[in-house]
Amino acid sequence: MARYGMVIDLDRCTGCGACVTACKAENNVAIVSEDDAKMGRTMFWMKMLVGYEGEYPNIKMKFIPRLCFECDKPPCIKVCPVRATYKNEDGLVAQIYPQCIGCRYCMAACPYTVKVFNWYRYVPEKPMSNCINPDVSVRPKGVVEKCTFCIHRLQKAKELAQAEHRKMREGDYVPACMQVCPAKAFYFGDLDNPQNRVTEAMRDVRGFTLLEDLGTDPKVHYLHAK
Amino acid sequence: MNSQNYKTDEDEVLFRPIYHTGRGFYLIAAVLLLIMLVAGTLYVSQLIYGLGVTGMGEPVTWGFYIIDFIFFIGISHAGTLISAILRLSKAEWRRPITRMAEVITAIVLAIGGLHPIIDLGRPDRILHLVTSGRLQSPLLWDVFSITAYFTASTVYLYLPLIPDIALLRDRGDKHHKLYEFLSWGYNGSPEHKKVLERAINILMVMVIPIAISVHTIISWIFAMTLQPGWHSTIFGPYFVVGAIFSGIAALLIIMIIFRKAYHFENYLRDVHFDYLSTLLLIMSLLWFYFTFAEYLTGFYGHEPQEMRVFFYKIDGRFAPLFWLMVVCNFVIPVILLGFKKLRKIPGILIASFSVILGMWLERLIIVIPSLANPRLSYVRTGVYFPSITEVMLLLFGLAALGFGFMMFSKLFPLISIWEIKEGREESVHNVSQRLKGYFPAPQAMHSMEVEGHHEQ
Amino acid sequence: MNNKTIVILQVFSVTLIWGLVLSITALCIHLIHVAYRVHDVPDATVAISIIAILIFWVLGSILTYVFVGLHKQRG
Ligand code: SF4
Ligand code: SF4
Repeated sequence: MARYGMVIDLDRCTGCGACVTACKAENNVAIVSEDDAKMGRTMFWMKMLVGYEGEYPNIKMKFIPRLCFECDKPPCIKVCPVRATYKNEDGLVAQIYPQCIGCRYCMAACPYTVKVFNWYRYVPEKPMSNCINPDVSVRPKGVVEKCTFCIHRLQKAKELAQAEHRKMREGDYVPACMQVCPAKAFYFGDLDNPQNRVTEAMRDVRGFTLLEDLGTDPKVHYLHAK
Repeated sequence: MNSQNYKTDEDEVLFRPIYHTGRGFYLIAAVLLLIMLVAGTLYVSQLIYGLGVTGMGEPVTWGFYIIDFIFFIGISHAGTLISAILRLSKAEWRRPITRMAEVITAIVLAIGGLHPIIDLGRPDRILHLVTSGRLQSPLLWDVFSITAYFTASTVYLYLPLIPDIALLRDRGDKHHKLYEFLSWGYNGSPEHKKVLERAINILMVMVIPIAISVHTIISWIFAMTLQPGWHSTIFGPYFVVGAIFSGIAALLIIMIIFRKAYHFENYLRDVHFDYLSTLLLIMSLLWFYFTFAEYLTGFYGHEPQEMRVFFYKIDGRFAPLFWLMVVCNFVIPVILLGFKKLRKIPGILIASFSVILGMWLERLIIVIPSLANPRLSYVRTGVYFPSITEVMLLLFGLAALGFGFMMFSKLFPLISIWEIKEGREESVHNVSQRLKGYFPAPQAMHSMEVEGHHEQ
Repeated sequence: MNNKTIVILQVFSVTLIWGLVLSITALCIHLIHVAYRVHDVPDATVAISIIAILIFWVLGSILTYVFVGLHKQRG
């Protein structure tokens, strides 16, 4: 049983947004119309948060790629009335689409406003309909979804390792956002394995998590020199 | 049985609405039905297209439906709670009021209970709550507490209705079989009275904690999350106070309307409005106290995330609504009800409407600003504007309340006839006895040392 | 519709509330069962169920008490 976690080095991140795009394509995340976007219905599993530091003219922009933090003590799971969101044996906070009744309580409970809701049924339009990822289901209308750490890739990696009669190795399983990052800002792996590069990165002094004081224990850490 | 004999009944006015229906009734019923029909159609479109037809988005993921849910369930506290408290404290002036209060509860609870289902993205999967519900989710607490409250309050409406149904049955005019069935064989004998009285007594003690738990649990839906502005221990009592507050206002409105429509002037007298509006005034002050305490502690602590919500409410986008709420819930009622001169029917009616509006706004101001300003400060402040579907479904709730009330009035008396009769026959005697018991009897002074307090 | 049907209907209405009470009880037991099976905070589930079951049983009893009381005296 692993406990997957991630470290993102904000000092390396250039804010290019490759991870955002890769995530959308990988997970068949719906593309919404302009009107809906104005109402705040854009769907991002990986979203680029932009913060500003300092006063004009000495402004520094701060990019924070934000995905689901796969909290170790997730407040979103506690409130779900039907067990549609749960923590699986790999420490991932998973979402069961056919189980969700769409009450959106978990969205209100997540302090990071990570979850997104399918306001309509998503029918991919022309260019996009040609590049639907067959490994990931397109979600029905009326359910909540969020970043899964590309759980389908974990599934595949596990099966491959099993077929080759070996244990999972570091790098067997990598989410799409990390794979495409040109600045190599991501570290990812099993947090229970002290040899992994991700565990090493987690011990970095620059490390922090968002809203640390809430005690949600996010498994995604950031590195940023103050 | 010849109904002719009963025409001389001294409470004939109370039976009248059941046997006579005016033109206005059909007209209003038709309008209400029309509203409900239109709203129903819109709801069907929501079923087909999904929740996208509403104005909700992210981060404001709960909108009118949840607000209306809290609001309607709040109004439902009018009834059972008030009538139970008044019965328990033996307030004799309750007699013509309790029935209406209980009817409001039953109807509004049914309407309010529908709202979370309307709000679901997948109402077709509602049965998942049964097959794999999680009792640790506050939503499930709500399912249970509302079911319990609905059952308790319908029983509590029904039991005191039995003697009246028996009266109607004995008149034998209309719906004879229905009354026969519903009266459960009640014949007004002392044994029957005793059974009924005992059951009502147990129920009214039980119904109070259930009613309080219902709105506390609704508040916990919010308070159990970590969101700024919601995560507050005061929310339980705060919601209950608000619920009773809006409940009394709704009760007053309905009393005034039906008093006019059905000529109940002789039964709902100035004294009833006087007492009830005093209660409304007290609740208004209490509401202000709670609101003040809630916001002051938030402000004084000055936590940045709390402050974002706080300022959004008091001088940001929601400022007009916030201050309108304060005016509606506090300033207007205190002015109109605080002075004896203004505390007349028109004044009370205006104050009640303003309280209803104000309490609805309060629910709005609790739900939306907290969602619009998520804890993570990098997330942009959300906007929310209701769509026509949501507005129509709010109207649906109000129309259904009116319609349900009108239907009830055509089947059962809106004022408890037997309680009025009983009051007329017994309570003067009982009350004077009771009053005597409040004070030391004159002869007790002399025999104090000898007999102690055993004097009656 | 004679008197007999009416009495039968009345008995049926009492059965209805017991139907509700029993199904709530069954639901609670089922939910406790599931909570134990998936190790999902069973203690809280049990505590909440006990309260819920109790309330509904009392409600059902009161109604039955009235029903029996009103019917006994009629003979
Ligand atoms: S970040 Fe939000 S959605 Fe993800 S696990 Fe934590 S609380 Fe749940
Ligand atoms: S929206 Fe779905 S996953 Fe979220 S709490 Fe409701 S049922 Fe659970």
